[in-house]
Amino acid sequence: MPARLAQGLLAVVVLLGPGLPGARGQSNQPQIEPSQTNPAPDDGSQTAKALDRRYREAVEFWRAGDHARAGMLWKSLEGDLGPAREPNQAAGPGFSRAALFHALGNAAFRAERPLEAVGYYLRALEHRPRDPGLRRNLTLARTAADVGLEDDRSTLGRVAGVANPTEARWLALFGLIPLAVGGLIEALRGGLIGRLAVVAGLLGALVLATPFLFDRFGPDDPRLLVISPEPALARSEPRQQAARVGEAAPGERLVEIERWPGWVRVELNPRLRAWVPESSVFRLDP
Amino acid sequence: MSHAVPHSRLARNAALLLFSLLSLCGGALGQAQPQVNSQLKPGVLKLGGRATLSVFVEGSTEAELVGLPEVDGIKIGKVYGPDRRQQMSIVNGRRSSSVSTSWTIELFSERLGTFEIPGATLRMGGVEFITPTRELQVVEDLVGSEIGLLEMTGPTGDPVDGQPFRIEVLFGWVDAARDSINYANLMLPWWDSLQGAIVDAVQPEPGTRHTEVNLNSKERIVVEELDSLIRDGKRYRAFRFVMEVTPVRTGELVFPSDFLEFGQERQSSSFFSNARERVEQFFVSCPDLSVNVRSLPKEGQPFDFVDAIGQFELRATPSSRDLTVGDTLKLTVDLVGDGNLEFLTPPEPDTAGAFEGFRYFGFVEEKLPGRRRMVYDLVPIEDRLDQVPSLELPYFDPIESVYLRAATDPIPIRVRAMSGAAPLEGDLGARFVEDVEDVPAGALLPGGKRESAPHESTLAAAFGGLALGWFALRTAMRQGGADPADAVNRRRRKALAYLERELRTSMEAERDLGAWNEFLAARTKEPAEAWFGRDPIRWAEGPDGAHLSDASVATLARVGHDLESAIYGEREHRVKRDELLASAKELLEDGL
Repeated sequence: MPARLAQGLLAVVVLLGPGLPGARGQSNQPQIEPSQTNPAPDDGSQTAKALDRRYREAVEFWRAGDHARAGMLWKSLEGDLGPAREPNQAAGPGFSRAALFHALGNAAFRAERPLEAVGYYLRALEHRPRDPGLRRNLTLARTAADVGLEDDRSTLGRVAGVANPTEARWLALFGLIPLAVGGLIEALRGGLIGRLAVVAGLLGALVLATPFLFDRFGPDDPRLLVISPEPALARSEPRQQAARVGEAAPGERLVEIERWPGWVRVELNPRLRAWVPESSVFRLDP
Repeated sequence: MSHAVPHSRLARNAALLLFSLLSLCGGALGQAQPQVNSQLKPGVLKLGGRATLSVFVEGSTEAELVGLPEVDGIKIGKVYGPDRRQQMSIVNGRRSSSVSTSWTIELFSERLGTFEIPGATLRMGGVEFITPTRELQVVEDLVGSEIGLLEMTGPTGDPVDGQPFRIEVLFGWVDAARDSINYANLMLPWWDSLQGAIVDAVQPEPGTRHTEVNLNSKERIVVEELDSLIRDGKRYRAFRFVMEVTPVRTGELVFPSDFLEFGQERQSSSFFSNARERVEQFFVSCPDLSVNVRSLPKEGQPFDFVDAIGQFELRATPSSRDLTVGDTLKLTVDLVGDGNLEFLTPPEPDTAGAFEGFRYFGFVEEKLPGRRRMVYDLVPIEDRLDQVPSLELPYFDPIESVYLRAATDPIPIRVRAMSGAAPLEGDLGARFVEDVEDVPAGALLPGGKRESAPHESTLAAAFGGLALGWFALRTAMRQGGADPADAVNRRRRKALAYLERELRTSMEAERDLGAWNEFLAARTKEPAEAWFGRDPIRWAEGPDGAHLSDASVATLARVGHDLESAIYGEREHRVKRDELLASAKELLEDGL
């Protein structure tokens, strides 16, 4: 009977696996949007190597002190890379977005655009949240931009933030192991010990799945960062002549509502939504 | 009809009224015509002597002295007053009163001649009054000039602005008058009012004889008494007073009208007072002294020159030569020489230049005669330092008329790195700046491998599968209402552990048999008594033991027989514990 039971379980997993609902932003689109100059190769690792070659070309300019040129090349690379849609795609097929955002942050910092550097370092930290160099760069950029150093995340958010989305999923998967052990004990032995084993397994699974659950079901982080040196004027309509209804301070993070060419509609506070110039905000895409 | 008033009473009242009116009128008349006057004493004055001009106002106590006489050659000294007085006297029944105000003004003669002393200006009730002019004749004290001595000498050359120089005043009187002269008063009118220079008295050298004399009649100074001095063949009892003058501007400095007043005083004591009375008074003067102060030459002036003028040397002594990074190094620097030691700006270490590698926290200083000592607080912040660099003071040498530099010698030191060195905080770490961490050299992930994560659907499927599997397994285990947690099943699971525990403490064969039978009963879910006296072979033929192999049945039979034989003496020894446990495990493996 046990052999038959195991076969049945395996069949259930195989059948349900691909079709279960609830996945965010599922997409089979390639994360590398091919550019005209860089047609997408058929192999992921080849794409990563091509991107890395372009990255290294920029690094050569950077090392020679031509920071502006290096920054332009990295910016172009960022445009070709496109936004990441899935954690496993965020890292790319062997290409490190964290490295690219780190480089772009440094380029912005050298160009005396510290708020933009803050934005890039935040993006890089989403992929490499425990990188001490990135943390230090972020602190320096925040100091240079005079926007304060406090971490406005909640305690749970900070705990969940120690892992990037990829790591969070693996942790959630590993969290099923103690749950399985607890369930096995309970099924075979029953009684108080079995129940305690299940509870302990559930707790362990919950702890390990916290980063994933917070990322999946937690509050959405404001994805826009105000990077203009002066407060960004918010208007009632996406026109320069429209009435000013508020402003957003440099370094403030805003929730994006919608877009219009040259303008972004944001939530300034729970009671006020208004339009700010697109040039005054920075999108914190992963 | 009118009342009759006594004639005598009426006359007395009228007289009183008239007297009152006259008194008032008289008082008013007296106040309207005050009398002002002055008195000069003496009218003839020795050069250097002191005269007094007394100013009086009769008939008013409201007068104010608003103007003093000014005469070239006569110096106004202190003004004493006003002294306001009211007097009332009754003589032979007549009552009279008077009021007066007076001032006393000191006058000092500064040169020979006859002087018209203008009147002092007084103001009463908005009207100004001027006292009469007086004449003062100033004559040379021939006797004083004969027996007295006063010489004033200045610097040999022209000093430069800021260069201190000394003025020496020699004074005294002939040795023959040694016994009769018992006081001296040096009159230096410019002493505390010289424009363009700072004047300080220089104390006599230790070991010399010194005494105190009056200076300008109001303070005492210490002067050196010389052994003897001969001038023009005359021996003098002489004294020396030295001053250091530091000019603060260029141009001519004039030291005019110096006098020496000397003579004899006599103590006059009475019940009410104890005063000194001058019996003899002599004066002697000396010519004016003029010093021309030059400006500092611009040519060759070092860029870091501040204000040091003279001839100097610098000597440095460190508090330690073996240091650790962060230790405090006290560098004592002695500045010695002849010049404006007291006023010059001390040199300071240039931490951007020669003293790079040191942190400088300032200095404390001490001014000693002929020496200025600075103690600098330095902290080495690098372990590569091997010497305290020389500290330099650019100065102007007025004798050679050239700019020079005084410098300390470099001092070899050893600076050790701080153990467990950490960057120095605060200003000490200011040599380093914080900068962003550089960009990564490449952007390929380690090994160039694709990084992947389980899909959300995979996570959901795994969780669902796990739940389903758990449920299925649980259901299977509880088929037929069985509960793996009930007492029978728990007893069955713990049978082997029970057997091990019992055999560990058993000392006799009966207990071994009891433990063995309990083990078998627990595994077969029967009461313990069920296996006492049971034939294993026959039991194995039944439904409960049918699944056991023949070897297991044989083991059951053999172990039971051995245990019973040990009890009833057919066997010498008890069955070994290990043998029993091995048999039990063998039965469990066979599905007992």
